[in-house]
Amino acid sequence: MKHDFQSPWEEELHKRFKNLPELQAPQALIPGVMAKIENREQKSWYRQSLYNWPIFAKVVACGVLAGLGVLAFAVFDFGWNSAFLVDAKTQVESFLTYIDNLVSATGRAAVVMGRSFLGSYALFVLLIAFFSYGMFFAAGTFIWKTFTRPAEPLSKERIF
Amino acid sequence: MTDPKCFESFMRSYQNMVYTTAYRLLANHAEAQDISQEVFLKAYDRFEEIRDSPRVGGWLKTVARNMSLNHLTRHRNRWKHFSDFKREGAEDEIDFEATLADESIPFAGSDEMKERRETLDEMLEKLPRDQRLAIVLFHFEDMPYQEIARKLKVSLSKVKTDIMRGRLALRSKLQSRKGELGF
Repeated sequence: MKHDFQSPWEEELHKRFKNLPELQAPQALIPGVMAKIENREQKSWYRQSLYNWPIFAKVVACGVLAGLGVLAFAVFDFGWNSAFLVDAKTQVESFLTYIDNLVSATGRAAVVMGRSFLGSYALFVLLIAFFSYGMFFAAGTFIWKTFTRPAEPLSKERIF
Repeated sequence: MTDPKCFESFMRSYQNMVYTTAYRLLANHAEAQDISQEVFLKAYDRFEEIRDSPRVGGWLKTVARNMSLNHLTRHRNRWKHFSDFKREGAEDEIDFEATLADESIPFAGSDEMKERRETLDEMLEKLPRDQRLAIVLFHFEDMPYQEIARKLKVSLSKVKTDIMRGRLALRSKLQSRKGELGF
């Protein structure tokens, strides 16, 4: 981008800066990066950061966390509203009924929204695709991890 | 699977550029090295996409710049105390002589340029942080004032003030060394 300078000094300074050569990166930079890559690749996928997880695992993890959040809310909400219930059995039954109603309502809301945005047919196809992808991805991951040889460390010679 | 030798060769081509970008913003060798490592780890994750792209240099530079700025923002938010708050427009005292000299920075270039680089880069490093960031983003990254203000999350007037003050500080110092640099 070309700047508009107010004085010759500014333009001169800009030229001097532009002509400054690059600094020499430290010798340890490349070996450091390769060491980190090697460490990362030796770890199983579930030991790596969430960012590096397979997409299916990320979605499941997010779903589980969301479910835990809803559960925590439900417990709080139910406990707040049912303090008058003394009998433990009645409390448990009431809680399960509450969860069932909550899940049903959420599922119905998702279906209604999906139909509104996608249409019934598209929603059905999307759901089938989602579950099929998840199933095949999980099966493929299991087969690959169980029956194939693990990757060798980068420091050793590899034949490609 | 990415060929490690291929990736190493890729890193050798761009390591100086990435490190220089990070160092000019952070003015700290260890932090610049850490940021450079993170940049290349990110590049490794996307190596198959970017290796043959003609814009890979620009992508690396942008990532290095953004990571450096994010690092500075996190650091500033974590360690800021009430005594560190300065109102906009407050005078920044620049005392180059009192600033401890940084360790000599390895340089890739001729002896004459090395001397020139040591003076200009040395002065740039010793500027107050806000001025250094604004000057680096304006002159090295060619960003307009508005974008600098947005990136640094400060007002436009502060960016202009910082750049102006930084230039004045550099000018006064450079004029005292006019003969050395050929100004």
